Amino acid sequence: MGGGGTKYTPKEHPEERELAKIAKEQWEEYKTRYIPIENEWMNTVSGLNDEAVHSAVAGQASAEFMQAHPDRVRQAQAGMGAGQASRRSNMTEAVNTSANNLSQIKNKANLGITDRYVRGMESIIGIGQGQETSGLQGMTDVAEQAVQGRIENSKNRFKRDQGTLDGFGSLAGGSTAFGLAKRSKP
Amino acid sequence: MGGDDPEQRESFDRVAAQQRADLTREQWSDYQKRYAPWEDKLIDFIDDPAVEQNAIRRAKEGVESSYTSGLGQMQRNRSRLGESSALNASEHRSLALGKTAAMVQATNDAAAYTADRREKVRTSGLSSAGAMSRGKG
Repeated sequence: MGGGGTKYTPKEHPEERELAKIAKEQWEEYKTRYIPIENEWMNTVSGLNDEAVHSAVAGQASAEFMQAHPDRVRQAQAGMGAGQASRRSNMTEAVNTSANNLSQIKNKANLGITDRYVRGMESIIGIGQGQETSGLQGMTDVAEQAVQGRIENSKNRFKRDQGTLDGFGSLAGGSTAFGLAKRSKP
Repeated sequence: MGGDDPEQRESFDRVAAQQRADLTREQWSDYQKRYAPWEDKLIDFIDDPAVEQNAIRRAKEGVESSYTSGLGQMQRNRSRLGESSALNASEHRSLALGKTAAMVQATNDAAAYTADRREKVRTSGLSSAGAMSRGKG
């Protein structure tokens, strides 16, 4: 058999070069605009499970519980007109009920903080894969839910805006989902 | 047979293809440098027994501090009423029982919740990573 295969010669395709150039420009812009935000978000997530955060959320949940549920304090004082034995019994019961509720609230708030850290890590992994992610709950939301899960009629709700934290998560997730969609398919 | 090989111009641009390959390589390197460590971190975290130990420790501390605070409040209320703040035997027993029950509940909840979270992450949190490594990302 003689002869060989087809001989290919390079050909210039201006439109392909233009597309490659645009892809490179997009990546350069991405590095400038979004990677710093991503890195900042990573730094934020790194500290989400620190002991200081756990202490803060436990304190916040306690304060909210006390504000929302002063009934136990009143109950402890309710035996004013009753005999001393009755009053002492009421007080002990009130301490048990209140401390038990507060213990479980703090526990739930602490578990919520660790959840938040895990979700933060998941969001980073999602961002890395070019997926859109959603913002994390604020710490106040975690504390509030811990109390709400325990008593329904919370009267004093912390509604402070956790915009910064949510914002970083949403921005980093949303914008990089857009940017990174081009990474695997430039 | 024989003769000259037929000549055909390539249907793609080698320079552009190389540029795109270089770009993909750079992006992949960036992913490995900045994002892959977070996948390792998540895997390490959910497998780390210290996570459950810490959850249980915090649960116990929460019970301790709640009872300390509740007891302090009760004793202050008594002082206001002009009574002795010392606990009698019945009160000691009642509070000790209540505290033990709260401790058991908090500890069990912390352990069960941590186990649930571990399973949830294993089955969902890393699923996207698997899809990507299989070329479906």
